[in-house]
Amino acid sequence: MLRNIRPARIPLMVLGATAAATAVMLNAVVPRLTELGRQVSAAQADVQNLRLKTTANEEALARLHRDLPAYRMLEHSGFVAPNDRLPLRLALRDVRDIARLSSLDYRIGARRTLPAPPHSAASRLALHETPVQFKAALLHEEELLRLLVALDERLSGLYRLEECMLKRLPTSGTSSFAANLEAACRLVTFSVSTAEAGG
Amino acid sequence: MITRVKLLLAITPERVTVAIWRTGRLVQRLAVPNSHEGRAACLPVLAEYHGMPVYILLDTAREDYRTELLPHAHGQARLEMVTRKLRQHYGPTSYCAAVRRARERSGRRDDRYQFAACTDPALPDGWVALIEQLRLPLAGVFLLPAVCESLVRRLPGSATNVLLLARSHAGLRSMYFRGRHFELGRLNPLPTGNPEQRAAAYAAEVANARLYLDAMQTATVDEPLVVALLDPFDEEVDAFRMLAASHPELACLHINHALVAQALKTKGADTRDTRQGPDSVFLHLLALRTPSLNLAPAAALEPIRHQRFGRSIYVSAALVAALGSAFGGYCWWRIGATEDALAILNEDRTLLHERAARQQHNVPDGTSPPVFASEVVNAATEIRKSARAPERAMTAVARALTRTPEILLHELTWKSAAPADEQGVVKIAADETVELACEVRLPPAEYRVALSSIRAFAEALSRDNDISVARLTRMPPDADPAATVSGNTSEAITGHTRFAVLVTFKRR
Repeated sequence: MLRNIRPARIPLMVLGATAAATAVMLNAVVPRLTELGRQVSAAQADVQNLRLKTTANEEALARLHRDLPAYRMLEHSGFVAPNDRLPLRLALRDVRDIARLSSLDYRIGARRTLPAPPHSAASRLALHETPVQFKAALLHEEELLRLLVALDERLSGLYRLEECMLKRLPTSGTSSFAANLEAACRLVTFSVSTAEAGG
Repeated sequence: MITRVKLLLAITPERVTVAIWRTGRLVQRLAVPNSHEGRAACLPVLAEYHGMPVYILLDTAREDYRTELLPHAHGQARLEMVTRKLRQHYGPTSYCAAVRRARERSGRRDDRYQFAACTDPALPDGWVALIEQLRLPLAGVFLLPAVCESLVRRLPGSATNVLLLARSHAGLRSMYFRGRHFELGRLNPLPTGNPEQRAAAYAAEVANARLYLDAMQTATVDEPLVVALLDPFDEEVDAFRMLAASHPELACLHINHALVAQALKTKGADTRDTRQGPDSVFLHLLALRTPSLNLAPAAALEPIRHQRFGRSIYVSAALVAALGSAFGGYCWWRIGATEDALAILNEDRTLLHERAARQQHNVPDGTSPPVFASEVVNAATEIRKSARAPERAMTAVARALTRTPEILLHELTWKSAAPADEQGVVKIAADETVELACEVRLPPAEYRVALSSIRAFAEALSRDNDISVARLTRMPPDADPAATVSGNTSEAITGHTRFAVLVTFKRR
């Protein structure tokens, strides 16, 4: 063992100076490298998000351009509009006239908002349905078919016929123009609105 | 650690040889008498080599070797025990040392130590003082037999017990090596005369050495032994031949110049200078491998320790600098590469931002909010898919009624979905059903005909291409075992022939 280290003071000083210089250099370099690494990670995440976003936007834009004519037609038909009762009532009156019926009793129910399907992208889009029931006296079966054609012509927006009942009435025998049949149908009309618009 | 430049001193009682050993060669050589004048003559030569480590080789008869067993110990206890033994054996001389050779395999498993000393401290003292005066670092003081160990290790053959005869300035040395470690030695006057006389002298020395070894209980007389004659100048060729011829019972080995050169070359020495003097071989051996038995006092070794410590620190500093520089360089390279990658990423980010801005411009005007357009169209498509009209059902029923004119339809209920049971479960996979309430227009007495008409009507429905299933759900009371029928036997059997059919249509 060395009894004293005085003779080794110059090598020790050299070692210390070297270690200090190395430490100073590393102290300058390593934090810079760490900071750059952090910036690169952030930039990579940012670029990845932007890439996903722009790709999704492009797809949405392509869909939009594809669907826009159909959307315009739906908008024009009243599917995308406030669901007023008056146009529906006017349409039913027109249906009666076109189908040449003596009368058409109807009942328009309260509008219901359908639950959004799970994982729906259009969570701000609300789909509503309005139940409509009508009843008419018919001379023969073909009048029901005529009535349905008239409905298709006049009823704006989208609807779905759910049930139709055709019932033979007891014959009175007093008049050949007396109604023989009674038709009762149930349908739902659909409309959409944005959540902000509230229907 | 082999120092590439060494200052070597071979000291005998009469003369001292000073040599510089540099990268395998003895480059300078000076022989002076061992006296004040000799030291004075060496002073300027030694002063030139400031900082060079000095190795001293002692070739003297005033030396002592002994092997002894000591209890196995470690650390400070071992040091104290060995120091005590050295003091006990060699008293005042400071040129003594001990080295642990092996551990016994039986008994207490003691350690076998070899002790060595120069019993004439005055021999190296003057030179050690001169070295200290010149502030040269003394690397060690070694006895000649210890130096020869490295030569014996490199001899051809596998003999472990070797008696090496060597001519030195001090005289004829006979050194016994067991397991290629030096055990005991003798020093006699150099043999003179013609080769025959010298051969006889060598033979006599071998016989005496064997008796001496036996007396010292180091080796028995009849133990197998290789007698090696060191003859680097090839002067004893004839004498060796005579020795080998006259004593065929001895295994003899002539270490001539070629063998010496081969042994030294394998250690990297240049052997052109081995003929410079009798001690040149020993100086080479000392320079090439430092023996473990170093007789130099601890205090005299302080400068070389400091020098080595300083050098190791310099080496450490160089390593730190090299590693730091390498790591720093790698970091700078990584910084450059990372900055490039960051620049590319920033460029990508800018381009993507611009692309997003362009996408905003491409949104058609008047569509608010535009992203809903596709969803609205999708919703409308789904609704349209599920929309059904009763025309197909009514046509199919009309076809069946045409085939069975006796059937009167009272009521038709069309539904756009299959009917659910009480629990709300749809059992039939269909999207259109029709319930028909009908009557057979026949006299009551012909109810059997009426029943066959009902079945024919149901069959006609079932055969229709658009219809999946036609099932009679209600039959006239006389044909329905579940119905309750009451009447009076005195009256004629009357009854209505009303029935119901549930028709399920195929999916479109």
